[in-house]
Amino acid sequence: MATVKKDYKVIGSRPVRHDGVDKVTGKAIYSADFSISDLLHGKVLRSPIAHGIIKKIDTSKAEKLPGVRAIVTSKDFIGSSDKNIETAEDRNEGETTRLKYLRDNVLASDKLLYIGQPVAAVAATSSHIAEEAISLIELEYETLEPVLNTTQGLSSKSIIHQELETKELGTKVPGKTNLAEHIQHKLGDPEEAFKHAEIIVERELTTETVHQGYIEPHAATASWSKDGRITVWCSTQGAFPARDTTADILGVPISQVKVVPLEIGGGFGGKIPVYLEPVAALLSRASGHPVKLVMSRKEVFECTGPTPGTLMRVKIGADKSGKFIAAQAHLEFEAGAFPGSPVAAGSYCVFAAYDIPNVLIDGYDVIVNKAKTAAYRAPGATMAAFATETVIDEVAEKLQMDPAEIRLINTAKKGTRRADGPVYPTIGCEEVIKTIKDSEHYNSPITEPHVGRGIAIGYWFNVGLESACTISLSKNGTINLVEGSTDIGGTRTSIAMQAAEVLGLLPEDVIPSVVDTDSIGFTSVTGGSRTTYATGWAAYEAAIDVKNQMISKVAGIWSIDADNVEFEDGVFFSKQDTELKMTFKELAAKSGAPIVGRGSVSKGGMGAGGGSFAGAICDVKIDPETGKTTVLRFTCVQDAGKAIYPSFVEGQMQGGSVQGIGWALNEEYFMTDDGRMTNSSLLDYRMPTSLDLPMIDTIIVEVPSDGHPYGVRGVGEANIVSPPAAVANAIYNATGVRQSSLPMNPASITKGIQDHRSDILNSMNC
Amino acid sequence: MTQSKTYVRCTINGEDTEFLCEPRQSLLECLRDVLRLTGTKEGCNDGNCGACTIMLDDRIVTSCLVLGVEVNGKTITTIEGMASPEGLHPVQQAFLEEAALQCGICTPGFLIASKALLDTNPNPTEEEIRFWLANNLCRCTGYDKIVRAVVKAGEKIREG
Amino acid sequence: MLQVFIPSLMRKLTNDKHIVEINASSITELINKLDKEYPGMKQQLTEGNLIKDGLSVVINDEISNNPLLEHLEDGFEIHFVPTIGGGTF
Ligand code: FES
Ligand code: FES
Repeated sequence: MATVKKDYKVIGSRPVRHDGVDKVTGKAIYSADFSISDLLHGKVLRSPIAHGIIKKIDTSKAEKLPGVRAIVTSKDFIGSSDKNIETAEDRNEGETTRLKYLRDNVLASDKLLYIGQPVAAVAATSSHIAEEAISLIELEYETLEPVLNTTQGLSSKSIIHQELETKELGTKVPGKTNLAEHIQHKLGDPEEAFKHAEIIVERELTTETVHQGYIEPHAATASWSKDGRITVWCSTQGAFPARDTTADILGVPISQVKVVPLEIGGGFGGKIPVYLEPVAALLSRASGHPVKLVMSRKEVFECTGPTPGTLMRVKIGADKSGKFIAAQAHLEFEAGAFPGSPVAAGSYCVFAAYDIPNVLIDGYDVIVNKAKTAAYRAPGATMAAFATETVIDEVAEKLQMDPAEIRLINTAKKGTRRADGPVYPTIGCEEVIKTIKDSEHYNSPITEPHVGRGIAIGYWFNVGLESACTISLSKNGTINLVEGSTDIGGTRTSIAMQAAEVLGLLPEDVIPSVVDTDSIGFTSVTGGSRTTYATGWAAYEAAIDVKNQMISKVAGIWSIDADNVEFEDGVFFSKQDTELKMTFKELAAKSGAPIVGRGSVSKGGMGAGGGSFAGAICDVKIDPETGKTTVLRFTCVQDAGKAIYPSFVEGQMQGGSVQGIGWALNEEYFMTDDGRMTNSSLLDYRMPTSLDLPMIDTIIVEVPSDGHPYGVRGVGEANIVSPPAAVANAIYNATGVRQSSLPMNPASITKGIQDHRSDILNSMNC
Repeated sequence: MTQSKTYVRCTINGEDTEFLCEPRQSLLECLRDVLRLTGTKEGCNDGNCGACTIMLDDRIVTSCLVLGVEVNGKTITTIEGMASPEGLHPVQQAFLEEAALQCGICTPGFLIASKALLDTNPNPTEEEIRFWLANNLCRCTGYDKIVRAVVKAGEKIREG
Repeated sequence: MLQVFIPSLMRKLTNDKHIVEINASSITELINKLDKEYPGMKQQLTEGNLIKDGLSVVINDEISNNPLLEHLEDGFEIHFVPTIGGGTF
């Protein structure tokens, strides 16, 4: 790998983003803005119960409503799954089950598994007519007892999937169950090590279901043409994964589906799964028209993406000096109605910030009658860190150690063996902790009563995966950069800047386009903090390819060997003959075969570049009468490896911090005993507003990742991990009461304070 | 078929505009689906996210809570009417320079609300900005850069 | 020699051995040799000659996208870890 010089011209600067003007003038087309001629509008009938068996779906009345053009149910899926010719050979039993789950989550076939699960869909000439038609569909069902949390899931006789068996490392453990997976990591001999601990703290903690809360509801338009080609316009975090999943569900080859990604109004992991796309396609096939489906906010809350409620037990043992010698975690995560909670990720992250020689981690993926959970920014890590980081705070307190100091002496470093086995490459955990410890914020005095400060550390491992990029050189010396990563927050620019740096161009000389799945090589999701890292890497390689082609071209013009040509500061020159010089723009203008560069990368699936560490310092003020928490000051520290586009690195840090603060203090699904969410509006699901917050200070740490040409570390996720724990530790510092459940709302804080007061009174009476 | 439609005449972004709408259609729906002005966004359709914020005469309103038929004779400004032929409004420019948008779905609503604030108070405090914008949700930015952008736009406007 | 880390849930097959040293230049070769020494390993790790669904292979410090295509060198560490679900289905 060529090492690029460190005095960058473009990297680290703050240009205006390429798609900015369209987005401040209302011209950018998001999923619900899309329209096409001959369009019909659809609506979805959803399950009114959390658990039951479908007896009958009668659509006859709805069909007769004027304006209704098509109604579909799961029966409309093309035959069996092996129609998918491209994957038929390796379809095994596991694949068949996976496909059934995928299909049942977009249109239920036999059972009703959560309130809001799609059952049927209507296409009509207007969305109002479609809605009326939905109310005319008669759904008959038998109600079963719902399973609503992990405790019920693990003990209940009510089995949600009859065929489900627990998997341990891919191997099935026989027996009917709601436990989809058991994960275990073991390092050293924790049982023995705990015996030698000077101090052990063990706590049980819980968190409630929360939602990603993107402001744009899901929407998709599909057109199934008479020649069998299916075009889907949607807002997705990954056009290619959306294409592949849609094709899978529909039972058609991937080559038959084109996904056109529109602008995306937030995702945070929740716009990786497909919900509407295959249903819109079925409606289009049935009606012969393109069909558009748009979710309401209530549908978004009830049927998409939440991140799960959890029950966790974490135990840490330390010696006298504060060194952690053993740790144990028991993590139960709700998967929702189908397997796949983020418990595996939570298990990777729970002790990831520390060098602990003896560790046991058990993770449990439990099926419950709620919407299938989806990724949410560092999925699983935030809950796990809430547990670990509050327990560590207690260990520090018991040993009378500074919270930053205890973290520093236990910090993970390059070479630290993780509980899941591998050792870390270069990471920035220690630097993040040191930065916190030395920061003005951490060292500023607290003078007011009822004010407290807390810190916490968080980790997200980041992924690499596949990305492709092409660059075409224009005659005027600008470049057109084509990529497949949907841009949720400035990545057109952070990717373009990496190409510009190679070619000595300004950011505005690069014209980036995010294109459809027919027009670029496979590119994985905008997620896992991978876009600036991996698609940026592909852009870097495409730019190197352009540079090399230009070197060959100029060498030809000069009739010299290409090895004798150098490129620096926008000028090609001969190493031997100082007279031979040509600027990038001059060379671009010369005629000849068009120059098209290509970059294509496949990077590690997890732990790309060692991941990113982030930490938070939080000051809160508690009103002891009402229990209201006010965040007075907040600092986010994160290792960006190299901050390509600092404004948007800060933006990620601030956005992640505030989602973490919302999770800490207010956000939760209120569920009835029969599994209904009672606060499915943005009034009652209380996300932070501008008035709830202070400015969010950011400190970017730069410990370059091994391998990446600029040392980038993705920054999209690690920043959400530590805030709930930092807020909890700050609340403890202010009130003397430990918090063991999220959210830490006024009711739980006042109760904690009252219990604490009576404890003190009781102990004084003794 | 459905109910008959109502004739509405109003001024939108300086243009005399006529449209037909069903009595049950919200102004947001009329703007987006009838008039194809899709710059105004829908995030909740019940008045709680601010993505659909527009100016109705001199007031900021969430257009999802107004019926299309109510705007007969009124004056409406949407995000499409904010920039002039000469260029962006200072608040749009400040949002770009301060990186005050990530996904951008909330941005039209924030721009309309921020401009309305600066029109009455070009020198707001942080507290005033936060209070004024509390009806607009942004899930991406944590509001920090939005507040900075409004301060900066205010400075530009005061400089003239 | 490769250092093969045996996941805790499979250590019953290796008499609780955490690390096994094996000479191999590919994952397939490694699994075959492992199975010879500790019968049952192959069944635990593969299905139809592919790495089992739900299982990922870490080579040194990164999860490999195509483990069966990787060339293994002396001194490499190999780990078998649960696949990260939760997100993409
Ligand atoms: S769409 Fe009108 S306030 Fe949310
Ligand atoms: S920028 Fe995405 S919601 Fe505000």
